[in-house]
Amino acid sequence: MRLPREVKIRIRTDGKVEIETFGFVGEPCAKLSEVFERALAPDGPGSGDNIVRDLKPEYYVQEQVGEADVKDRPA
Amino acid sequence: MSRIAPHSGEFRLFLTPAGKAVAPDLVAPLLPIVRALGREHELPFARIACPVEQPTLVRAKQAVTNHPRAALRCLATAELWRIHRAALDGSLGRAGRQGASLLDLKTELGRRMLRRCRLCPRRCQVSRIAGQTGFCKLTQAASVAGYSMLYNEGPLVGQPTFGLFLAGCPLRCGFCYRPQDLHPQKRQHSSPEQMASLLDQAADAGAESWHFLGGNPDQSIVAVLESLRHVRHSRPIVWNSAVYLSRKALELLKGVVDVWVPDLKFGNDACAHRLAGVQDYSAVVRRNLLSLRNEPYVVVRHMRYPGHNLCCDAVISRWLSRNLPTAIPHFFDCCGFAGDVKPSNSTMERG
Repeated sequence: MRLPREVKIRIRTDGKVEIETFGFVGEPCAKLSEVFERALAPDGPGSGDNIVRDLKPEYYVQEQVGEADVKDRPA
Repeated sequence: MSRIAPHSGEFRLFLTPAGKAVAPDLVAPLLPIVRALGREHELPFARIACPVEQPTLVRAKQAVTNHPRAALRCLATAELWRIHRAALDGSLGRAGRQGASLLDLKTELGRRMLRRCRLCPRRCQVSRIAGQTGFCKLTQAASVAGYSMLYNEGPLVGQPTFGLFLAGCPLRCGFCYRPQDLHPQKRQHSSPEQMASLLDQAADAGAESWHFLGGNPDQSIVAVLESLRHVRHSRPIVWNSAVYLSRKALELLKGVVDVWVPDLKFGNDACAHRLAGVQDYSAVVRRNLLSLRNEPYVVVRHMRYPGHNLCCDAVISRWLSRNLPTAIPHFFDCCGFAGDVKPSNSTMERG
């Protein structure tokens, strides 16, 4: 099953941005971080156009293995 | 995008498999991303005026008693509460300009409450003034975990609203989406003057309101009240909290807060105990909500969690319509969470 993927964005007062991605490893994680860093850069384009262009499904969609569909299970 | 206000902190974004972005806290720096990838029809980004015409803070700063501020320290606590009640009722006569304000009264009462902290029902009774910490791990200073202009925060709060995320919380909800704000960090401790400076910068940058959230801001009431004494501007104050706090702590907020945004999380004590680790949730929170009956601007939030339709969502909806018919219900779905949740391991931690 496919679940939303989480990206934690840490913004510092000096404008520095750090990206932490959960459940991603290797190259997809690095690519996703790059895309977000570009989108959030204080001196970047900031229009969002770049993220539409640069964000590829393979950076953030991963099939979950061995996990039941838990969406409707009582907590 | 132009950087119109200071911002700092950790903010989360969820990317759905379909490539849509969902930001539980839609802060200014994330706007371009959510604008490009979010469901735009659901996310208005235009400026929205806060309906509060004159912030209560303006009146709270006016003198209400002839006792000068320095003299409040010499008065008995019971007498301070008496003056405080009368000031809220408007039954005090005219006061000299040098007299203490309602805000001064509140900060003095708040400081006394911190000597044996009973701000929330956990009643740790530690002296936060002396640097001791209880369940929330806070001393008297607030711990600012993040701040930014916020968008899409629901009715009455205005847009953009300046969000100040204050760390520390009496609950340990397993589904908390800002778990990083549960435990205050020393490096985040802010003086009242520093917080006031942030609030003023946000007002200069066009914030419609000052929005205290977290974590949970209830544990930082005294620090917030102190900071409000130092602000140059005034904006409507939005208090977005769990309202899991004592009667007296709630009294301290009345007469300063303009828009109440309490989170009503659970419809019954069994769910509250299982998911947040507290036994007396319903009694405390419902009592506090009922005491907001006469407040003009109340938005009750509830995050719908899968599997709790009948035990929580339906119960809350029914309770609100019967008991707080003038409050605006703001129900929304949780995002990015799945699976069983349990209270965090630190539920039973004390001291």
